[in-house]
Amino acid sequence: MNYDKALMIGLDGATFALLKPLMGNGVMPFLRRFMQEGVHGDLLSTRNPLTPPAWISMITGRSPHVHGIYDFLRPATLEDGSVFLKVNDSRYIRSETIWSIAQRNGRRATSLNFYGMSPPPPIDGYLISGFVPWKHLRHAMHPTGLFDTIKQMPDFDYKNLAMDIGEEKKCVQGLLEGEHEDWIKLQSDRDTAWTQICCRLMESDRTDLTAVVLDGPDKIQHLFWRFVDPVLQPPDPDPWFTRIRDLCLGFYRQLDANIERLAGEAGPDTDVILTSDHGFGATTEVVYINEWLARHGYLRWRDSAEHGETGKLTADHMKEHLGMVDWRNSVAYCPTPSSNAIYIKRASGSSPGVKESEYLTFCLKLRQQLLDYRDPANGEPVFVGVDANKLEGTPYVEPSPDITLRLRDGGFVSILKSTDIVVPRKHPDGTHRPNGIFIARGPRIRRGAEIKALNLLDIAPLLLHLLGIPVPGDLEGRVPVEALDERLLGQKSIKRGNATVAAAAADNDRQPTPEQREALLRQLRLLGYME
Amino acid sequence: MTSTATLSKADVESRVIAVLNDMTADWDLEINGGIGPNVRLMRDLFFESIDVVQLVVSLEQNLNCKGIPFERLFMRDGDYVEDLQVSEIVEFLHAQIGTH
Repeated sequence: MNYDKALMIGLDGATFALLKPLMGNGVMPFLRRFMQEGVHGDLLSTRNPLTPPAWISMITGRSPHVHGIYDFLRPATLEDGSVFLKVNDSRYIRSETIWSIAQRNGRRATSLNFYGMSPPPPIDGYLISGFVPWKHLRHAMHPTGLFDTIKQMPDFDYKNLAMDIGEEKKCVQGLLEGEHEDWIKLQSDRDTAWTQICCRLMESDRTDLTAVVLDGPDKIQHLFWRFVDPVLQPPDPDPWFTRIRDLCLGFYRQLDANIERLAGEAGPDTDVILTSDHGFGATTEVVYINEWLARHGYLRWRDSAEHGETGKLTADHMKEHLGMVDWRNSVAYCPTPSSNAIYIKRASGSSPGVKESEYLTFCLKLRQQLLDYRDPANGEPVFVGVDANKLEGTPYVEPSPDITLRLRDGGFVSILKSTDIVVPRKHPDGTHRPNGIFIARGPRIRRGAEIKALNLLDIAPLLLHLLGIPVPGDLEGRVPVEALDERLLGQKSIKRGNATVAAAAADNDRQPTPEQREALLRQLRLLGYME
Repeated sequence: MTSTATLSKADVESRVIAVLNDMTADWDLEINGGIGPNVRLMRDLFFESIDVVQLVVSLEQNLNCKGIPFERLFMRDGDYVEDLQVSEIVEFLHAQIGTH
């Protein structure tokens, strides 16, 4: 049977704050035309606008507290009270993906370079996980044999699909002198390699849904934000600044060409959707959260812990950071910069921590101290958002952060030891923002319109609707009808279907009983935290 | 599939070695005598931390057993171990799968 087809191109970290000027000044002419011929608007990200929770939410239509992916890593407390970090993978995703929903409804899918898809689930179609080093690409692909096919492709180096974790860390750790030009080329080469593979698969065996992520924009913007953000351009740039800016603009020219090639290969009968997992903006300071926790009596550094290098957010190796903390005498900690989270250790057996009966008081006190904290330099609040996730009275999947932080400059925290809590950066760098992008064009898409912001939870319902699949009743988003061609709306009503099928098994859910929930809400109201 | 709870130590060793051979097939390694119980991950197979992560996933898949507490193997007295020998992994897994 010939079903409707859809192509989703994910642009990691893409933001209209940058793309609109690039479209306006001729760097991205195809994207400009594409947007004019379709519909566009902001796409709101997850509470912590970060790659793992955001992309997984987009492809499951469920929030992080349901699918269970909050960060790249997941902390686990050992019997002796020390903390160990595990790497998230596809087995920890608790919600069904759109690839699986499509398969249950007789459609085939291709999923390329999405975070967290390894080990690869066996879908009817093709899947290559993103964020995989070259040494492990063979085991990150489905079906068996796809790796050898790609490896034997002429004029194609499969290693260009890989992500080198050592290079990846430089996004937050910074580059050494002389590395900048190669770094920009690396990102462009990888995006182009994924484009080539995607086009090759569309050409040889087209599936109903094709989805690919190009992650170069995120990497470029982390390190080169001041070179590309129009509002940060110096009036009299030196030759090196001009050279780096030109290379960055070259990256976006190639990105425009890659998008054009993908949309062209998909053809005029395909609805093409461009999304990003989060937006981008400037970060101007470094906030040392574990140092803050240490000074407020929640965390104790080991005597051997040394101060972090200026501007760094984490140690070069995670085990070095874990070795800096005296875990037996710490009750709250931030495990990774990307989490922007505080985990509260619960008392368990001989392991020190906060007792269940004291959790509410402990958490609220910590939250208030964070909100009350002021930058010694100017008296302004530093933590502008402090969400106590487990006090919202809703079910959640562990390991949920107890507190999610939002910094005043939108940046990520540093987890290192420091002499100061807040340290200005020498230059602004790039960091994530909640507003990503949504652009769509195709036979069933409205033409020439800007719409109000969508939520990334709306993307899964939209894709399923475009494929003619009933939208499972438990998806949290909606089909954004304002993005569709209204002439076709009447011909194709939105169908709601049965709930999704549970994916990974529960580790240890924590769902408050109705009595606990009522008691919790009552206490929060009494304390003035809820209306 | 054979129940992993009844695997002998020799069975576990052959599975661990099979997983390592499969995992390193594209790495262009030259190991005299192939991968055996005395091979060390870092020294001989040039493992990096991300390779250890992949090994854990592959072993759990091979043994059809998720959530093996590998942290007990990788951490001693609160610190990460520097290197591991294949035989140490075999000993650990053999002790674990009977109780997991």
